[in-house]
Amino acid sequence: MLRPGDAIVLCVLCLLCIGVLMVNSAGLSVGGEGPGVTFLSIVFSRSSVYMALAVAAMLAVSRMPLWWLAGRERGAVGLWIAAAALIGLCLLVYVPGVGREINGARRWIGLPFIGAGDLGFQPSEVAKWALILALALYAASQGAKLAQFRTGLTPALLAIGLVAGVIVLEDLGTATLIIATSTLMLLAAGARFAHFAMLAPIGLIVLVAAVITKPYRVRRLTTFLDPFEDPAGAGYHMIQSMVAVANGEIFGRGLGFGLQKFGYLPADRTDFLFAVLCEELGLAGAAVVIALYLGLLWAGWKILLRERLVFLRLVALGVIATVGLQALLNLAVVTGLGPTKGIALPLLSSGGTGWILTAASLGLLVAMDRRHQREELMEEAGVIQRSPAGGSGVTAGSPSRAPAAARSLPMPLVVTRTGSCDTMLQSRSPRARTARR
Amino acid sequence: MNDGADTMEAPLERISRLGRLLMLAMTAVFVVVLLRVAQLQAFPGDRLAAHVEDRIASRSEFAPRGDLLDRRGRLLAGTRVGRRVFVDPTRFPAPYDEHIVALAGAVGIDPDIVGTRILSRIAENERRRAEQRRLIQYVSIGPILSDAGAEHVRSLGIPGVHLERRSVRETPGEKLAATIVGKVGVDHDGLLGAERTLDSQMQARDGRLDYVHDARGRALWIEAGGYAAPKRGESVRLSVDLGLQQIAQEELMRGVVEADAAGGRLIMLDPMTGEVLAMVDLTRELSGLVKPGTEEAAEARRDNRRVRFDVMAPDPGRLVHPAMGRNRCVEDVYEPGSTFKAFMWATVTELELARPEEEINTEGGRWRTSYGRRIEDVVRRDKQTWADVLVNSSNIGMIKVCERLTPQQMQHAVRRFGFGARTGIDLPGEAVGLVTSPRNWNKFTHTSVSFGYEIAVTPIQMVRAFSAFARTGEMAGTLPNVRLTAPGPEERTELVHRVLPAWTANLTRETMRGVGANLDRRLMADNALDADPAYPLFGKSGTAKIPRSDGRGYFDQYFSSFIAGAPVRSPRIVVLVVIDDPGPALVRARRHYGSATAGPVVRRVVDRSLAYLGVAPEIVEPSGGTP
Repeated sequence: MLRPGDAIVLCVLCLLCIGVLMVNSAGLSVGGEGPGVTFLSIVFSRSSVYMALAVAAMLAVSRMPLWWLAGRERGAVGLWIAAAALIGLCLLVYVPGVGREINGARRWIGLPFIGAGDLGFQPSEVAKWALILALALYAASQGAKLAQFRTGLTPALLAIGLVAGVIVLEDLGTATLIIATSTLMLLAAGARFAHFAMLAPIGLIVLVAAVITKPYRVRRLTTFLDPFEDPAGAGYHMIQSMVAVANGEIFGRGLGFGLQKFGYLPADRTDFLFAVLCEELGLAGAAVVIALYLGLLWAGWKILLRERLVFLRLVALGVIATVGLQALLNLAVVTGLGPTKGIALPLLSSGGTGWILTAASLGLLVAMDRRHQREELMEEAGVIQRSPAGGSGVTAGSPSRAPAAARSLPMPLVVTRTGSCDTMLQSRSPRARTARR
Repeated sequence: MNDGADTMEAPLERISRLGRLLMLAMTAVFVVVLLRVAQLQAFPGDRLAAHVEDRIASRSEFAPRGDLLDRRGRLLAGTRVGRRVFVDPTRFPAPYDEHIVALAGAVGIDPDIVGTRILSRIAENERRRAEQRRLIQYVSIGPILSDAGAEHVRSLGIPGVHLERRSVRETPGEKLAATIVGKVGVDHDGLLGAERTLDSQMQARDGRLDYVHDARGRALWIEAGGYAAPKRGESVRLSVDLGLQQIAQEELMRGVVEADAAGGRLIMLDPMTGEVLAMVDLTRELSGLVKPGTEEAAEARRDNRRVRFDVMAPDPGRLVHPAMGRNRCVEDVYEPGSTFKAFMWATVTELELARPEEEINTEGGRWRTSYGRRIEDVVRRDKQTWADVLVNSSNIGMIKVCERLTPQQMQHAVRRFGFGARTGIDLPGEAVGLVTSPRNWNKFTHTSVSFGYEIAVTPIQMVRAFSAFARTGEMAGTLPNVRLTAPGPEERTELVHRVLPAWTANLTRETMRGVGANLDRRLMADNALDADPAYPLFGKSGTAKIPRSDGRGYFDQYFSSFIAGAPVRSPRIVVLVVIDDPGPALVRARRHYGSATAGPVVRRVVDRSLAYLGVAPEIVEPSGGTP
């Protein structure tokens, strides 16, 4: 039986492979001086390197000792420190010589020091994932206090607001995604709906302000309502994207034989890659991609359900929500169901930062699954026992009785009475050893 | 432990509950997205469908129309690629005057004309710009240029001045054979003449390259079936010979001018193959003509004043271009007059209703028919043999003997020689001719048709019918298929339906040899020939009054014609010359007859043409008379 963690790895690999193929296909150009797109050129392409890095990151994170993270729930101070660091990172895009402007947006930080002048990453991508961890750590440490507006919710809202506020200056899509995911996590962690309902008008005002301060955002919104009003201007992106989708029919024009990528469809390798995919692989290709996303999300959901720790369950929720919502936002734009936003399709749209960080974040889910597997094996062997309350925690037995198969897996976490956690392999954690003494 | 577990249970459960909602919602939206993809592909809607256009561009590869050649392969009409200047007024730079003068010099036309064309479009563009309308970006300038001219324009380097490729139909044969060659339209579709009738053979099929292109128009690839190779049109060899055409044109023009005629027609046919070797149709501008039916005509009639009427049917197209005029050799009919007697003579002889040596009472040249119609002969004799009736062109003798034919026999004779039916020559607009129907056939008709009146024929019908006498061997007495194209090497000449027994045809030919001899004798007596006749010919002259278009009788103006075949023993050509309306001076001097006006033309054409064809000259005995 395929474990959810394995399913995630499989889905990620499939999506990344499709991503590499489609990014290379979309990158076909006329009159280029190179030998064109060949099997070898794809293997040695930059997107293949990113794919390798993404897979490596996912595998590395999947072997990360989660007890190390799980034992570090922090209060508001920790959250603010994380927020301050992320804000600082995001503001680096405005530092001359560091930040890079591409297509009129300053979203990138260049990495010229590593020898490749055009390499860079989006700090908002880092912030998106880092904030999930920071928020989960904070929410898990606060517990029931989150229901209190002033002492529980406000510090989190301030941190989220500030980070999103900096990001929204250049990237409304990512900021919206961060706010949506964070809201979900806070609500799941114990924040009250009433508080959010109370804040909704303010959020709406902020959103409207963010839109009207940038004329192109207003244009995108009005264009979404009727893209055909200005088909050669504001509506061009959306119409050409829909044209690409419509051109595909059931099985598409064939891989590499799409036409829209040849100058008709802007951002064909990034935000509108799904349109290229629909044109070349048709409805069948679109269905495969959507099935892979659903498989990924539902496998993540299964892991979330097995997770017994609040912090990790929140992390799992954050990762699932981020991947799912980001994919949906992108697909809505590409298919004309939403206004145009600069938001990439996770694991498909070209982008090193996005692929590596998304894969790494999904690696957290894989890590959780590996630990669950060891718990199950050890439970079967009688090394540990489920708590009488119905399985929300386990109690320790003797690690020396663990079966051989379980020894290569991460140690199960032991939920303590205080709501924090510990591992069975106490020798690995000095803090746990001290607590035990 | 239980308390702690309960404490933990609440947030975990809360996360699960919210997560479950999120998962269901996201799954639903993913399904919606997939449905949206399907909807866009299956039912894109009219507005989007308008943008779902093929990214395919087409480039045509030029294939020239086939050449039109004469029977010896000389070019009559051919296609070449030329260049023409066009100007984009939106990019034409100031100072305008300087550039316009330079351009006009290179193109070789008046700077005022060039300036008017360009500056008017620039002014129009200013108006359109104000009204936000589409600007004019194409103004063609001047004719197709030579390569040197195109290079000159290119060397000027004036922005907005471009050269475009245009295919040009050049017609070197136009001067000699405009009505035969015809014309093509802008798209090189045959509109007139052989260009039209042979259009399907000569029509080229341009090649087509359909390629997928990117947004900047650059070619990406060619879809399967996206290339069709160009197919050059087939070159067609006409039966016409430019050398013979030139001879015919020169001699006919000379004959028309000498006769002060309004026009002339000439057809030269190879009687064995039916090929048209030359076909000329000339008209001449004359002054002082009176239009029938006008006040001036009525006044002249009141004053009993003789005037020369404009009897030629109007032909406005000819004024525009010779090829656009009617080809009167196939489109216009005339009453053949005495040239028609040959067919009646042969018919009577075939039916053995008269023998060549039988004496016919020709009444001293003046006679009234049984129903009182007065008939006169030019050569007035009391008696003549049936052979001399034909040689001397006796109307009285012909009428008297033709009365031995029943109306049905005469009608059948007219039809079997092909009168009243198209010959099927590959030229548009061929006339059928006029033959009185059996229902309207009466005594008067019977008499008239005997000497070539009350029947209208085209020159092409006439030469075809006359070929029955010119064909030799087993083909004597048969009609050829008239054709305008030269037969291929494998093509065999067809035997068409027989109209006469061979002996009758040969006998008629020999009898008409006397007509040729009389012609030569007269021409030599008049010193009307440049050289002695080199080839014996047989033929028949004819002179017919021109009927009024209102049907009220005839003008005192004539169609004078002569039809002949030569050499007599083995005829290579049949030549018909019709002189339209010889001048009044000739009429007054009674020298307007076919033998006097058209006869010399035929003789000269026969001699020059047979020499051109390399036929060995024979001794001609002008005193030949009847055989």
